[in-house]
Amino acid sequence: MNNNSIIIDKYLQNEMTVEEKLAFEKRLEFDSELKTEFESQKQILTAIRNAGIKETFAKSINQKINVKKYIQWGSLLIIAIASIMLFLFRNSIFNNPEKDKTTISNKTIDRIPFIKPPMHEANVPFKEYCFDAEKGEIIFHQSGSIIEFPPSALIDDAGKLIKGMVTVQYREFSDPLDFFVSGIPMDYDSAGVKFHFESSGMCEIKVFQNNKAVFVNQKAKPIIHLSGTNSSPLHNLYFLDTVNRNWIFEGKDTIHMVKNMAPKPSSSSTQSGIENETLPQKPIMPYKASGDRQAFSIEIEPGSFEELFAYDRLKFEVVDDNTYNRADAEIHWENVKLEHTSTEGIYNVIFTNAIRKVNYKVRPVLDEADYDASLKIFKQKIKVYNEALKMRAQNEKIIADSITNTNKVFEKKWNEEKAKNERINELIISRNKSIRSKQYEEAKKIETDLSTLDESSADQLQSMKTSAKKSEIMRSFSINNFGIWNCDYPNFPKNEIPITGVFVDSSNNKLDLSSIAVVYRNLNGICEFSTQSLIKLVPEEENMIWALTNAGFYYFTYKDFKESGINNLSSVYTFKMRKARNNISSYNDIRALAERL
Amino acid sequence: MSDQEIIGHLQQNKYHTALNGLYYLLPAVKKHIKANNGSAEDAVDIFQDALVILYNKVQTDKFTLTAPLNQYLLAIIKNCWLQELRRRKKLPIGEIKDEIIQEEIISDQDYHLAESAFLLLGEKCKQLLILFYFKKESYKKIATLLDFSDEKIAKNQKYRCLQKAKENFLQLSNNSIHEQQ
Repeated sequence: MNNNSIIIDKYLQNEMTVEEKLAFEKRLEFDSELKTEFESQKQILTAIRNAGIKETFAKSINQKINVKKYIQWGSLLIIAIASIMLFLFRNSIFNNPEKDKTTISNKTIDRIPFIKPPMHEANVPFKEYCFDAEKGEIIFHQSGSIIEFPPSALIDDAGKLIKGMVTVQYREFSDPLDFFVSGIPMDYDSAGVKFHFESSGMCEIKVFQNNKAVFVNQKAKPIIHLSGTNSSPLHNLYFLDTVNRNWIFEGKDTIHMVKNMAPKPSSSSTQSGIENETLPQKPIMPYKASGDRQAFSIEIEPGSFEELFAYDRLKFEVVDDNTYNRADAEIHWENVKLEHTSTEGIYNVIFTNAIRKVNYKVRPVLDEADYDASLKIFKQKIKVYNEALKMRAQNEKIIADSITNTNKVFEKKWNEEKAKNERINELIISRNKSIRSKQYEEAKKIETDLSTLDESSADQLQSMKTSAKKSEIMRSFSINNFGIWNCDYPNFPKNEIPITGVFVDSSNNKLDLSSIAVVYRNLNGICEFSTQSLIKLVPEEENMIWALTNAGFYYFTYKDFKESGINNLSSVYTFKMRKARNNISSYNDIRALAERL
Repeated sequence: MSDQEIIGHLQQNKYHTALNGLYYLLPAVKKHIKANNGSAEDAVDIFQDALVILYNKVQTDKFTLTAPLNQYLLAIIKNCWLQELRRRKKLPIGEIKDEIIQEEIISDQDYHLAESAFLLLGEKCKQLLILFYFKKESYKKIATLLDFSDEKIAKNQKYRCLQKAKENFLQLSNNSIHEQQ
């Protein structure tokens, strides 16, 4: 910290004598550099103070919200118990099926749409199917998914069974591009914590008769078998409540392996659960400075090297003195950066200026005078660390024991599931064969007429082939409502960092973005941001950015990100966005572009 | 609780007691924000921002209440939200503000840079600075609360965090100048 900061702080904290204060104010009048620094520091202290006030109010508000929630949940619980008792009482006296009609809630529809497609013309299109509601139908969608409507599965808003022909509108969202163009919110709020959805299948289904919406008969619910590739059992089923603007957890879907039976579950390991258990940062053993070797002090970014945080007045000593060039000490370096190495306790320090860049392997050391105090701190910290390690080992054992017992229960359950799966598989495979043969017929038709094989037909052909290959699993679930259904796992990328972004075009003109989203290569989801200045990225991952302005679609590719040099310490970055060359006027246009990125 | 009582509590830094007299406005705030392109989270955030502005306002000697306190606070909230929408580029600059208050919102560009510079700090740094400058805690207590080995390290870290905030401020100012050019 420079002297100005200390003096300014003293002045602003009213810690100066009258004489010092007068002298400082006099200096302020003539020293414009000091004046600028003074103003910025003053504003920062105001911001800190206001953040403190805001935090205090936030705590009070949270307390009140929590009290309100307890009261609401308490009331709901009482209502639920009362409703169950009333229902049981009613059922026992009036066991009349005619009276058991589905009621449709009349909620006020919010004026602002919850789902906001950023480009209506490029939204995922619906596919329409017609059938006789009384007879029911099995629909084979182009993706390989199957929708089963049992007979009399539909009722009107008065609860009467629908007769005659109905129209089904159905579409699926399979990857980040679909999520982006559909404008469907892909985050999930659980107890105040926001998660990104990692999707293994999402669809929207609507049914109409004479342009009027019809509803699900709760006694004969339709079943959706969603075709996909992600067989993770961690995924849950959610329904999008567009009135209350949230995702409702609807339990689990059933996973059917289309080509092969699910492998018998191997004995569960304790590893996955234990890895997530957090240990305190392992402290680094302090060393005394040798005195012979070259050592230097480095300003460490606060919070960036947690293991060194405990030690004050640390120096960094060059490990191999033979590699040290003493002339480097005379050079003015503009940037000094410290990095971890693969060896514990050894760091890499990089000095750079406009002309040169050098790096040395260093270890943190302390002068004789500071060593004893630091060793004491180390001993305290290593004791805490070892205790945490011991605790973790004990937990591992407890979990391992409980897993052995659980495995026996699993084995029994698996045998039951196996029988069920085999029966359903026969049905799914035969129906998938039917839809695949249709796809291959169409693909063959395109292939035979090579002269008309333009780019979009080629894409279509590829998509058909890929689609046929990819139908490996089915996620099956019955639906109690028409709307958007999603098989997801609420994911929370642990290493997201906030970046204040400035977005410019190739001529460095600032872009006024109406929509912005970040895609991580390994997450089948999307992270959308309401403000265009503060976004979040994961430096260790491959990131891509999609954005829209009135002038078109802009993007920042995985490669652009790789070359950007953004790392965990980055806080501000100017993104030079690429503009889509062709106009995007349909879903196929944006799909073709995205597949080239 | 009367308007004067709420103001009195704010002047005496009794945040929680003062909030008891103002919390009933939150549902109206949520309704307003949701009807104007915002979410429930935005509403709580803007409500907190407006309380900070009100708090600072009542600390000044020249503060006189020219309208009922609930109307006054709602006017601040509306203006805060207009400013936030403008920041999110959803409204043109120059939108008409509420007639009750014109000057309550901090429109100083430097202040907003300072706020962003502070928010860009790590969580530990932010807590350290709030504990020292807002809660006026001693270095000794800060060292205990934030798990530093002693007060000397807490003091050292406080200076480093403040310095980092100043660096952020400088970087953001340079970016802002670059954007204007």
